[in-house]
Amino acid sequence: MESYIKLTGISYGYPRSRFALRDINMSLNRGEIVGITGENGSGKTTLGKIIMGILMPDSGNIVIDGVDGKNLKLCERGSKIGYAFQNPDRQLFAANVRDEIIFPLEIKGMNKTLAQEKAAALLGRFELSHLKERVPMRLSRGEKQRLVLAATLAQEPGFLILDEPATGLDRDRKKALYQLMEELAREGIGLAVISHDLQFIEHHANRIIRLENGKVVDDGC
Amino acid sequence: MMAAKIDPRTKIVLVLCLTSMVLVVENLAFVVGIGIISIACALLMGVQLLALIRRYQRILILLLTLSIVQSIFTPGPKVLFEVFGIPLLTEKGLEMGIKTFVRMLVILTSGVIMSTSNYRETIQGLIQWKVPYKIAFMTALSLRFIPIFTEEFQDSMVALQLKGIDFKKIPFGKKTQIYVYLITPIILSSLKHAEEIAIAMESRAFGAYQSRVEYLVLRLKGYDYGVMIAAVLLSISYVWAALMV
Repeated sequence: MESYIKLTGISYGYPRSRFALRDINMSLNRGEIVGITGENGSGKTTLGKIIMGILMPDSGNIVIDGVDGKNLKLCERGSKIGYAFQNPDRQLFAANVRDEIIFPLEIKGMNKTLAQEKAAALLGRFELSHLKERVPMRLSRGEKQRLVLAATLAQEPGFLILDEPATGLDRDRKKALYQLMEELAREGIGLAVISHDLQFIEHHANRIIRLENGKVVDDGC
Repeated sequence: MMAAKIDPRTKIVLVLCLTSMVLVVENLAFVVGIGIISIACALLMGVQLLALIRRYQRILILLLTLSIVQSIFTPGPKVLFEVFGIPLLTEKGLEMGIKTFVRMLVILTSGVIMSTSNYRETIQGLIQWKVPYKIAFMTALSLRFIPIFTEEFQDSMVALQLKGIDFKKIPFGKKTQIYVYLITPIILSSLKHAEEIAIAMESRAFGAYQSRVEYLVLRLKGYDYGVMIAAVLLSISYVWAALMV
């Protein structure tokens, strides 16, 4: 498998807090589903935010798609790695579902017809076509998560980080999410699923990374 | 520090005097004078000038830009600067620009003066001034939500950038479009917060009893009365002097 994200000696401490991520070394590859698990407060979300560049590590290096993370701006990282927040509300901006996918593409200069075609395809894939005129904030949690994923995939990232994607989903929706993750992995997109739902991770991840008090205690690679 | 002990009600009176003066007075020198007085008052209240400039750097730049734009678009008989015979800056325009900047600066400084008091104490001050509890409570709530909305705004900025949008590279026309997208979730989230708070308040029987007991009770000291009387008298004298010139 092709290595896409490489973390070497990453450490991070929150100001005025005893919690810290300590000496994180790992390689995340395209085409694999990695489950990042651990107790509440073990550092899973912090690790995801460091990979995305939302938080800057105190020490260590991150290489993304062969480029040193220090040389990548937030928007450049966003084009390489898609990130779905724990709370989907934070990633919804537009007045309707279709526009949620189209507007970043248009702002970045994509032709309107092409952007619309892309949005239609993604809405179809995520079973959101019938909701295309609805206000994103008024959707159910599961629908919001699917919309966030669709909008993220519209950027064509090489890797996806999903923070607690199964939260609030019923059994059928979890199954659908798993199938989607498998499909994406087959297409060559890497996935890191941050979750404390060990059962979900154990059933669906190719590799499990377990964090405890900010340290990797198990990397099943 | 005595400044820290000053009652929030005294600060309200001071701020009312400053903002009223700056709106009533038209003479340029006197307007600038009020600007200087407001900064002096902020310093006396323990505000760090450098930290203040650093904190409000962007707003100050915005205020300055607005003032320059106003200067340019205000016509007047005495032209100070022109390009190919087209007057760009007139004496009246310059005066208007300076006055606009100082007026907005005084409003900003007034906010800073009020922020030197704990917001709970400010609200308590209003309650003791017989402002209806419901209105005072709503004001307190809105102040409490400012940091939450700031955090949400910052999260939205990050989330937009993670969509591959580079704020620095997008053209001006599209930038305004971006701000609409940024503001939309904040408006929707504030409506959601309001709805949730209303339900929580109803469920805790807010306003069920007419009388309330207070844990925090503010008492005006001698120097509070001194500052209030001095502020009112000096303001009246200042406005009178400005109108007489």
